[in-house]
Amino acid sequence: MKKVVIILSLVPALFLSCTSHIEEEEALETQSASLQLLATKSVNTAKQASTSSFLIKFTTVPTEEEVLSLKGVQSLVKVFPSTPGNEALEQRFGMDRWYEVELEQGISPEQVALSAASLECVGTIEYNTLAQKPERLSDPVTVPDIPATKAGVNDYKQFNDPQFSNQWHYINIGDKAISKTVYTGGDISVKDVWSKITCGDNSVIVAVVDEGIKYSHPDLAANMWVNKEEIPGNGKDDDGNGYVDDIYGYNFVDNGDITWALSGDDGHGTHTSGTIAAVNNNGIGVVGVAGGSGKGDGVRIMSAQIFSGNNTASVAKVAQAFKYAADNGASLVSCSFGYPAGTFKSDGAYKSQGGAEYDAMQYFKAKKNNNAVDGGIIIFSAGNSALPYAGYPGALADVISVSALGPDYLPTYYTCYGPGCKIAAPGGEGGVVGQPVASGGYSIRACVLSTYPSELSNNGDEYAYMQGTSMACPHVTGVAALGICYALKLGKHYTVDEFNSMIVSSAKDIDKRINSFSTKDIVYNSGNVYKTLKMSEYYHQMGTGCIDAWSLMMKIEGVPCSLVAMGSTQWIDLSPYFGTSSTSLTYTGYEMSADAKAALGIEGEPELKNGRLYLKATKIGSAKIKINAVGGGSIIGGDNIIGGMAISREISIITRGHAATEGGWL
Amino acid sequence: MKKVLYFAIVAVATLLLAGCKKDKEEDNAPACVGEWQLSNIAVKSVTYADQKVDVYLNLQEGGSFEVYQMIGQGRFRRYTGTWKLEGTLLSGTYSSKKPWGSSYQVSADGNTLTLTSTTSGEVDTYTKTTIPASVKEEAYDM
Repeated sequence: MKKVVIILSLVPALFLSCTSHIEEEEALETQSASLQLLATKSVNTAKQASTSSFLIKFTTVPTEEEVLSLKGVQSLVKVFPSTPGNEALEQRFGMDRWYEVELEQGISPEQVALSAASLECVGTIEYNTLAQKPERLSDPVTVPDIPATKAGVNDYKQFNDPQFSNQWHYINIGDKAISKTVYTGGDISVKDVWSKITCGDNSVIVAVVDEGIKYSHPDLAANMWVNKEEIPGNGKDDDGNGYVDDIYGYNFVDNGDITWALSGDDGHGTHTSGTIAAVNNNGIGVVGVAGGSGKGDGVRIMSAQIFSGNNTASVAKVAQAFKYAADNGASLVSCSFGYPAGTFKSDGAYKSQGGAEYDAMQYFKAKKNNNAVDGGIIIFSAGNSALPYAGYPGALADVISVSALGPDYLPTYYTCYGPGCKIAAPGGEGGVVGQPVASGGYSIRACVLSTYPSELSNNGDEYAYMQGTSMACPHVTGVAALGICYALKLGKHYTVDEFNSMIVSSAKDIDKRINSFSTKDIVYNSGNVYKTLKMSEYYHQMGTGCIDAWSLMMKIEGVPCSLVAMGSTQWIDLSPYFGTSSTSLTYTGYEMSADAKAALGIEGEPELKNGRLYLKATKIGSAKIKINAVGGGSIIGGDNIIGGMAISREISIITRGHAATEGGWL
Repeated sequence: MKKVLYFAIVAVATLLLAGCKKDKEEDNAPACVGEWQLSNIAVKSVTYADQKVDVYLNLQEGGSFEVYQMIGQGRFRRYTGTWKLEGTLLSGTYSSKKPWGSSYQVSADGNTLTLTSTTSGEVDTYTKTTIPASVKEEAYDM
C-alpha cells in the first residue's frame, strides 16, 4: 500500500536532549489531566489490539509542532489513501483525518495515546483492534465435482452445473436424504427469478470482506472482478488508487497478493463467494445466486481480504477494506465476520467504539457505484454463538444482519437470533464439531455447498459443504445483487434506505413453521441428542423471515395499486409490500398527507393490525400512504438499544364505487 | 338524489330488459365474446389521473374469462374464472370461487363493450383488441 507518510522518523535523541527535569515535573502534574482526556477521547481499550500502532482521528490537521510532541512515534500515516474525485465524500466522513500512529519498538500504544490525548487537535483515539474470525462450527467437508451428465434434471434444469441438485438452499424439493425434517420450499425462492427475470449483470460488483478468494478457482474465475487499470506484478500502483498490484482485490492483512491456502485458512472467503456468484451454466460444479446465465453476465466478485492464515487484519485494515470496496466500484459488501455477539448491546455502544470501521462503513453506504441505488448495501452474518442478539456491526439498525435456517426451514442450532437480526436465509445444519455427520436426522448435505480451494483439501476437491450464518449471509447478498441487476434493467432508482427496506421486507414467513414445533433436536452421529432447541425462543426473532428473491423482484417491478371500495371500512393486505411475514410484523405507523386524505375522503384514522391496513374512504380517487414497520423484531435499534431496521413501503390506493375481489378489476 | 335517480333508471331498465331476456341473451352473448382492452373509465367526474390503469378482458366462449391487469405499476396480473350473461346482466366468479366485485349491465356492438356497474354506476368502456402476446407471457397468475 502506498502510505502517505507525514513524518517517517522522529529521532528519539532529539526529545531526550530537550527533556529537562522541569519538564518531567510538569509532565507529572499534567498526567492526571491527560488520563482524563484519554478516557474521553479513546473509543476502546488496548485489549486484543495491535501493540505496534494505534489510530487517531484528528479534529483538524495537526501542525508539525504537535506531531513532533508525540514521543515514541515512528511514523504517522494516513489510514485511508485518498482517491481522486472522492475528496468531498472523504471529508464528509472524516476519512482524511484518520491516521495510524506507528510506534517505535518497545513503546506501547497506551504510552503515546496518553500524550496524544492532551493535544487539542486529537479528537478520537482508537486502539488498533484485530478482527475476529467467525466461530468454526465444524470442519468443511470437501467433495469432488461430479460428471456433467448428471446436470439439468427436474427442478434443476435451469443450469447445467452438475452439483446444482445438491444445493437445496436454492431449490428445496424436500429430499429426505438431506434431512428427515426437510421442508419443501425452504429456500430463497430464486428459481423463477433465474428463469423469468435475471441471473445477473456483470456491471454489478460485490466485495467479499473475508479470507482471500481463490480467484483462479475454475468455478469463480470468470466472475472475478478484475482491476483493468492495474498491471499485474509490476510493483506499481498503476491506477493510483493507493494499492499496488491489486488485480482481483487486495490483501489488507499482508499488504500484498491475495492468499487463500495458508496454514490457518479454511476456505471461508472462497466458499461465501461461490454462493454469491459461482459461475452458472458452465458445466462444472455449483451454482451461485447471481452467477449469471452462462453468458458472462454474472455479478463480479472483489476480494477484500481481512484474514490471512492465522493472521487477522487490524481495525484500520478492515476500515480500509470498506473504503477500497467503495472506491473501486463495489455496490454491495458481504461480511461474514464481526464482533462476537454480546460485545455491544446497543448501536450507540458500537458507534462510540466503532471508530474508523464505522466511518468507513458510512462512507461505503454513501458511495454510489451503480445507477440503481444511490449508495452501498452492507450485509453481515448475525453470528454463530446461538445468543439471543446479533453481533455488531451487523446488528446496527441500518445494516442487514442475517440469521441462519436449516433445510427444515427452522432456526439452526448455532444461529444468533433476536434483536439485531434483520432477515434469515439458509445457512445449513449438518452436525457439530467432532461429529461432522449427524446421522440421526441430518447429513452433511444439509450444509451449504459451494466453491472451495483445492489446496486446502487432502483430495484436491474444489467444493465443500460448510454451515454457519457466514453461509446464510451471502445468500442475501446474492439476492440483493440480483435486485440491483433487475433495477438496472428496468431503469429504476432507489435510495439506500429504500433498497434496504425492500430487501428486508422481501421475506417469507417462518414464524408459522416455528410455531408448529415446540422443540427441535440436534442429534449427534451417535444418535444422542446434542442440543434441544426450544422453538418458542425463536418465534418472531429471526428477522422478518426467509429472504425471498421473487418477492424482491416484484417489489422492484412495482406493487400494483390496491383497489378499495369506498363507503365502508375496507382492508388492504400488506403482504405484497411486506412479504408473507406481514401478519407478524410490528408496524410503527403510517404517513398520509392531508391532501391524500382529502383526495380519498378518509374518515377517521387508518389502522394497522394483523398485516392489514384498515381504512374508510368516502371519495373515488387515488392517493398514496406510507407504512412504517420494524425490520426484525419489535423495536427499532438505536443509540440505547439493539434492534431492528426502520423499514417503510409506499402503498398506492385507488378507490372505486364497488369492491375489487382479491384485487381483480371486475 | 342523482344516485337515487340513477338506481331507479337502472332498476326500470333491468325490468324492461328482463322481459326480452332470451332475445337479448342471444344478441349480447356473442357480441361480448372476445378480447377487449379497457379504453375509458367514467366515474362521475373523477379520474385516476396519476395512476395508469391497463386492463384486458378476454370473455371466452364456454363461459371462461381472463383478466390481464396492470394497475399503477408492476407486471400484468392474470385473473381467471367464469362468467355468465343473463339478459344484459353480466356477472362472474373468480377461480377462487369469489364473485366479482360487481355485476354489470352490458352493451356491445362488436367493437365496443360497455360495462356499467350495477353497484357503483361506474361505466367502463372496452375496445375490441387482440391481447398482446407480451402481456400474456409476462403476466403473473393470481
